[in-house]
Amino acid sequence: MSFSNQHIDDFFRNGLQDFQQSPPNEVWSAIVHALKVQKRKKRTMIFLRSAASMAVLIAIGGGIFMGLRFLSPESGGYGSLTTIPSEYAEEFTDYTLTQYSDENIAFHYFEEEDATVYGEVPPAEDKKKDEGKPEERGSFDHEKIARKQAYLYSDYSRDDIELIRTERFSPETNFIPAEKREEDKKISSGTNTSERLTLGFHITSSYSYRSLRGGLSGTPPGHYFNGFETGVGSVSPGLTVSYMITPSVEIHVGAQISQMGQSINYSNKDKIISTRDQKSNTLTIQSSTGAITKINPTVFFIGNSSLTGKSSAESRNTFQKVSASNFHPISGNIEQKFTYFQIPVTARVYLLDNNSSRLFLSGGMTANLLLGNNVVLQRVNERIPIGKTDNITDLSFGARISGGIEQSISNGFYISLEPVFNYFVTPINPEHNLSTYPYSFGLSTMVRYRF
Amino acid sequence: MADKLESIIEGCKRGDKKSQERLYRRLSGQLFAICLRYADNYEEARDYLQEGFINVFNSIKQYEGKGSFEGWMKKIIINTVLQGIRKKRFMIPLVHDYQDNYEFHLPHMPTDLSESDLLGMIQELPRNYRIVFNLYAIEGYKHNEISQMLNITENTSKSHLFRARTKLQEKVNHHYSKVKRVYKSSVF
Repeated sequence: MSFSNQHIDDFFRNGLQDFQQSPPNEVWSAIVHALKVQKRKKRTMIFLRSAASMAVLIAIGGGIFMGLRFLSPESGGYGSLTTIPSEYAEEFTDYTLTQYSDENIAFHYFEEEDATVYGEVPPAEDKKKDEGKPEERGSFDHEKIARKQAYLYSDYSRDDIELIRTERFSPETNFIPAEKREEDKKISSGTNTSERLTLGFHITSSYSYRSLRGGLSGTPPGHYFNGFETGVGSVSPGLTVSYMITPSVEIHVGAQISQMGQSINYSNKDKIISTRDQKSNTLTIQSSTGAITKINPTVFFIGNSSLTGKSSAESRNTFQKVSASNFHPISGNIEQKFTYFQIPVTARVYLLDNNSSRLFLSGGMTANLLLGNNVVLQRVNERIPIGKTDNITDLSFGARISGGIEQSISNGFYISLEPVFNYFVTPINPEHNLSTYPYSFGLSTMVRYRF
Repeated sequence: MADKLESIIEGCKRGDKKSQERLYRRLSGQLFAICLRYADNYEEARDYLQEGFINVFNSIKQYEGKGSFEGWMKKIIINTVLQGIRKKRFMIPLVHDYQDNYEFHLPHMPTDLSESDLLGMIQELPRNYRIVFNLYAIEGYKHNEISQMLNITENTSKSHLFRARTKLQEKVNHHYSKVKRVYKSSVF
């Protein structure tokens, strides 16, 4: 009996209409795992985006706030105010000068019981010359006085400092702005060295990729690889020690583990150049960073397919003899990663400082010591090692630029958010025809303690 | 039953893990059978099912209740399979060698072909023939749709279908010739 085209189609369609086959048990576990990973990645991305947005908003808001604060005509501008502005003078009619020790003198003004204003008068060389006369120098937060807010220094009410004398104080006294006084204090040689030291822990989420330069004629140019290579994300922990050399400049020396690298997009595998040496049973895949090699590989690129054998021993002897059909086609992305121990040495300059929060810019160099060099075929739930990149130099150098905001969170502790840009200035594979310079964008969060 | 599926779908839309598992337990057998028809081997079918369900859970909020949910899921699974296949770039352009009115001859005997036998025959087809046959004969897509889905010409699609049918007929004939031999030997 003969069947038409339609009949043979129907024959199979009807035959398989109700066909069902239970999948293996591990599929559901793999789905659950993959969904968890996705969720975690999604949360991380949301956190990073939120943190980055907050950092930008805080930086912009803080900049505007502090700019207005320091440049406001009402306050007279930073560093220019040496006396209480005349418009406030009338309010300060009854000062009391209190000396608690030979070194520290404080004054306070009682306008109302709930609006006590404190300040500090630094030790004056000539303060004892004319006792009973108003002190000629002092420090004061004029703006806070004007707003009848809190005091600047509260230490002088401590019980362990002996009260020596109390006397009246004139509003016409010359005052040194509080910020200036603080700077002078830090700069003075008497500052305790340990107060300038901080130790911090930081964690940086970053996206890394590379730039390519050069290339020999007859070899694929950089843009060829740009067609199927993309950057990768990573999270890096680290420690930083800093030392304040001036009130607005700090030197930071760090130590961190970071990952740089790239992903080779498997969907473009027809562009991937792979060769195999039959004698040594070595698979070689060309990447922009250099040749990836694997002896006794378990993954092969044959024609336009990538295939995995069951074991390297099996593939070694049967490499040529076994047909492609005896291997399993697989899908995934090739991830080429370099793990570095980085030592950044940077200078941080504080641009704006309102005692509790500070804006800063930072720049410097990093020494990068190669710790790991791995290439894996990344599948949904599996990472198959497929070799390492040849001739990656053990030591390379980079530049680092960052900026951010730091906030005091409690006594001696600070937290900062810092967008960071790292760029390798020496190629990581000097023997490759293309010069590869990895770079990364990231957001660093640091908690540090000032000793 | 329909209400129950609706509540499962609503649970999945909320990201409820139990609902997701109930949906999987309910439809994975049917969808795995589809994956087996397209895949080169069992492992590949397993990967397609896994990726397909992840895609389903990620996009289930887009299902608005219009049309059959099973049909919607089936489409996602097939799209996932085709995406995987497109990555393999298996299609080789062929010359126009099909015949629209060719008669396929299948033996008229009591069928003893099981679902597994039929699936096995489809799985034994070369990959490109198998995909086109599945899309055209089983899923009901037209050649112009298949050509867009697989980025091939309509003629290539028709050619693959013709060859798939030819090979399937050979397989069916071969199967029945064996059955016939056994039948005769048992009679005489």
